[in-house]
Amino acid sequence: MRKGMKPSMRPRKRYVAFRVYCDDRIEKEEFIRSLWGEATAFFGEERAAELNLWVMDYHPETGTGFLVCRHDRLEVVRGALGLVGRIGGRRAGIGVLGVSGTVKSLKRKFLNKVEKFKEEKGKIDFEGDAFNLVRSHGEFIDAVPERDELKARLKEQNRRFIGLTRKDIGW
Amino acid sequence: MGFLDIHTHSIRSSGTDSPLRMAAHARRLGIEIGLCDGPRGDGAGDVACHGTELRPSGSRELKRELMKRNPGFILVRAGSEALNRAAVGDKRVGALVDLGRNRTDAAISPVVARKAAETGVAVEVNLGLLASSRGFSRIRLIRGIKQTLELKRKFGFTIIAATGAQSHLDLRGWDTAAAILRALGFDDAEVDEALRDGPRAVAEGGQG
Repeated sequence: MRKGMKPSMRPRKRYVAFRVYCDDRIEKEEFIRSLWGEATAFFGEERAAELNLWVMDYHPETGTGFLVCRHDRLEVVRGALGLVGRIGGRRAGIGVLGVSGTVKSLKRKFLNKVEKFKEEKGKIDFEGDAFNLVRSHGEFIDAVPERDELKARLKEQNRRFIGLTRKDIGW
Repeated sequence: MGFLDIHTHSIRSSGTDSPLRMAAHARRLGIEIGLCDGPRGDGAGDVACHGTELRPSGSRELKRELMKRNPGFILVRAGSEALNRAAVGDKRVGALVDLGRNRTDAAISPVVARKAAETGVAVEVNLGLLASSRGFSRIRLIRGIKQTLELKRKFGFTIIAATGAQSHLDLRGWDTAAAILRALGFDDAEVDEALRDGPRAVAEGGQG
């Protein structure tokens, strides 16, 4: 009977938990396309091919997920994640929540306490400007401004919401 | 102590997030930030330091701007060769920033490099600009950063890395920023200086 490969002989891997920050919902395919786009554009196809990069899990409703890569190419993967500034034409950023050698510990340490977005309604005031609430997640609030100058600034920066905190509006 | 990103903006200048949102997101990434909101930034809590970013069109305007009240450290947006020389020649300036923005030169000249080494004015590598650029403009930026790094090794001025963040989406953690710098050819000591020691020196210089 054929035996499996010994654990010591298996290629070593690293699991990376990440969160996509964006004003819009980002689908898995869009995220994967952007990540591979950055990895191949910046590091080249030859180096990108060595990463053994695979997005194993992704939840568009929270923007969190985890990927696997070769343990000795973790630095390149971190670099590629850091260079993603736009996803599907929308401004975005990716934060690395943590790195682990097993999926079990990765989920336990970094992916258990992710805040979900909650829809909010109402008007608020911040430093003399009026805003319409859109959503909250944890201590963070996203709102749409009423002042035209701020609307133009958001458009220029390819964003939809002004980012505030609960403390800003006295909640 | 980790990465101090001294080139960030809140809604009080050209950004789209409140100072508290920027600071809270930075804390989640394990970094500290300095907001460059100028006089309007005074009083915003929770950030490591405050400064001012000047965006003069020429060296004469820079001199006029430097005469005004500029709280905290001073960053000057790079432009023409004359402007860059004037900026690094003035010890009130903390760093020359945004090299390569608006089609300006992405690298400093040897004359600017020598002057920066003499006066102690730092030169910034803008990671946010790198992340938002594509195609030939990114190639131009990478070439400029590599040329600036070569000049740093020759003349010994300080390079700092920052994101120029206008929202929390632009902020990057230490590991991510360090990975990008290493990919650009920085060694471990240069990464430490660019992310930690250099920015702290600029921030402390502005407080003095």
